[in-house]
Amino acid sequence: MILMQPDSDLEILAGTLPVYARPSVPFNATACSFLADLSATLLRNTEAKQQADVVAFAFWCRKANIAHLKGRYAGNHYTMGRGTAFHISPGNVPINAFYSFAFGLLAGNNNIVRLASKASLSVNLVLDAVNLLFGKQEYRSTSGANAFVRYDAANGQTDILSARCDARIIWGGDKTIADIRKSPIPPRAHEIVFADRYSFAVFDAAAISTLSDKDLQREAVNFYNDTLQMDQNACSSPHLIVWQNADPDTRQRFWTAVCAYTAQKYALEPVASVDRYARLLSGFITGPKQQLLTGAADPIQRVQLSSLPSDIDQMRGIHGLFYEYDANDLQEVAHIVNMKYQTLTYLGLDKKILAEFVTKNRLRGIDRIVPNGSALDIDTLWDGYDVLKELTRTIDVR
Amino acid sequence: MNPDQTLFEALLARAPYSMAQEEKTALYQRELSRLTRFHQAACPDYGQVLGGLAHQTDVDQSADQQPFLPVRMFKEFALQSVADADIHKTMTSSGTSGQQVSRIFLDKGTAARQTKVLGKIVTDLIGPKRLPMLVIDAKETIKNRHNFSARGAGILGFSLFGRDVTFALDADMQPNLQRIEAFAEQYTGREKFIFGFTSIIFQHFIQPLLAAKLKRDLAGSILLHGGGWKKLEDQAVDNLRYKSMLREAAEITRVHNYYGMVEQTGSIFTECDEGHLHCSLFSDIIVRDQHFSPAPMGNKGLVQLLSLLPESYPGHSILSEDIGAILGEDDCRCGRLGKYFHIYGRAKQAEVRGCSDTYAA
Repeated sequence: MILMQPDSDLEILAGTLPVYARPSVPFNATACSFLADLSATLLRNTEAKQQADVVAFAFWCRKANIAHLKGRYAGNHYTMGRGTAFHISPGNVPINAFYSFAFGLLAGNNNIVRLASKASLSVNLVLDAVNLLFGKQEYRSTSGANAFVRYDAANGQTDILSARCDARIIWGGDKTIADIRKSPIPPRAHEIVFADRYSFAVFDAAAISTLSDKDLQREAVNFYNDTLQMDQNACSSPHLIVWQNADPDTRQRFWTAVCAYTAQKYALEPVASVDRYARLLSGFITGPKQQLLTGAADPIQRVQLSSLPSDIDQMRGIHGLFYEYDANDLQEVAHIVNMKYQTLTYLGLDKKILAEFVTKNRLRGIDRIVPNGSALDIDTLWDGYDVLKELTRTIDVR
Repeated sequence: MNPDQTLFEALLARAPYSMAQEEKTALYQRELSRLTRFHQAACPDYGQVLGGLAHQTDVDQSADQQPFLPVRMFKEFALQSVADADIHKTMTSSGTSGQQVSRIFLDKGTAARQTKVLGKIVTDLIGPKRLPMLVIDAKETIKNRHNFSARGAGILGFSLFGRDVTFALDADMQPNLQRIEAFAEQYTGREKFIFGFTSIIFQHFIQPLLAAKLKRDLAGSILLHGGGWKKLEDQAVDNLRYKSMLREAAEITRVHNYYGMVEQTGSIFTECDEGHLHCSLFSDIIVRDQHFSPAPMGNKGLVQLLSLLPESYPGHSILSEDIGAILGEDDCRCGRLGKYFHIYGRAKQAEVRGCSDTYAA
């Protein structure tokens, strides 16, 4: 049981800080209908519909998907939410605050979501919708036990909220995690951290060569969405493309399609261009022997690596810079995979073989194996966690 | 003697703004290609960069075909083309706290060339006679003579062109009004040279003087200032306003801005009476669009700077993070030959998207 005093340093943007609040059962009817209503509210809002991240979130929490998740969750055990979940959301993928909230709510928790200090249009649009629903009679209990807050990192709020939570979810990089961990949580509280990760792709040229122009075009768009849509800063965006059965013509055909789409969609700012170029040149010095394959004016800058040293995850592309490696066999790649590895994006390969690549090689990394185009599809299975299981407790009934 | 030393001496013997396009194009193709080849062999990191870019050095390439290093590379890497034992001094940029600083390694030869070229450019502006000099800074800034901050190096470098060098600020960066007054009185009605950094002059000289309504009569002074306008942008102070404030605060009417990077100390760009920054014999500018194609004259873009001076580090062709535009070549009304240009300030930082360690508290 927790008691929280609203504090003047803490700005509550929606809802109420949970007081004497109890956990609920996962996928309780109110939680499910709240998210479905949130989805519908956002999809009716013309302004919200112009923000790709808001639309993706609204689509994810639509009624049918919540029902699907509920079906996937159902098991033989009695489970409950853990209590109050304290979410520290990421600064630069602002929308993830609401995914995090939705995970907490579906798992049966009361939630305190700390939003990044920087305002974002997408966040404001979803917050407006949340506030609209919180005002409804049917969601009085929801609005009474969930809060979206903003506060200055320096003023000790993280200490207060951490000391009283039952679960803490930290989105952010390694540095943020280290900072937040200076604020202790109670002994029984559970913590989920989303740390800095590295992701790569495996493409099979032989399979890609059989794609029709239309299908290839679709895969080029998928690749763009996985990478440049987030400036390649997302943890799940691939930096390295490992080609199997590489043949130069297929590779060229793929990249030509990606370049054409990027040229249409992606506006390269001068400062981004300098960032990319500096990253490229630094890689020449710190990385393995390599060669730039593209011209300065190409929207995609590709670097061919002649070897894959085990610290290749240090080399990150940005603003259209990608590293490529030709592998005769997937086994060549096994030695680079460490705990940092999150997502393997594939095109033209059998997912079962890739899953076995992880298990048979007893790899410590790769938490997601998803087709090209799905790298950013956030889900309750994320970063190696079954987030819903993490945010619930299981009651042993015999 | 270094094979190019003869050339350098020949250039030094000429007026600094006396080379027209045709001659300069040929000179820069030859000399920059030589420098690129030299640094490729002498600086392993630079050699690797050229290898990665597949840059060919077997034949001379025009100036705009030369590879260029973003200035931040001098922060990330210790780029030097001479043995450690030959490093005479290391200059560092005055980065804001928490940021990495650039490290520029100078041997005796490069340091000497910088001093000579700076002299050439400054005396062209203020005349060959050493003038009584007022430095708008504190003496403490130049204490460490072995590890120079760009600011300290700038003060020391420019002090060579003055005499009776007087520091206008105390260690706490407050103007010492008595000292300024004494300097003004001693040299009333005579030519004086005032030097300082753009933002420091503004914050620690112009503002306190105007705020306290303490006008000083420094009429007859030539004021030279550089270091960037970034800190003045928030105050909406541009070059014209800056000049009028200096006139108001201290009767200073001859005010010249200069532009230059710690990576290319010496071959600076000074502002003429038309308000244009000029390339000398020893430097050139290329403006590029976001895809690095040279921009047409008059168009804004990223500023690449070329200098013939750096031998001890690969800084002869660098990419700044400033946005500028070339205004013309060989035809400024002030009579100087060479390209002249305007700097608009730093390229705007784009909003970063993504989730890797980005929590902005």
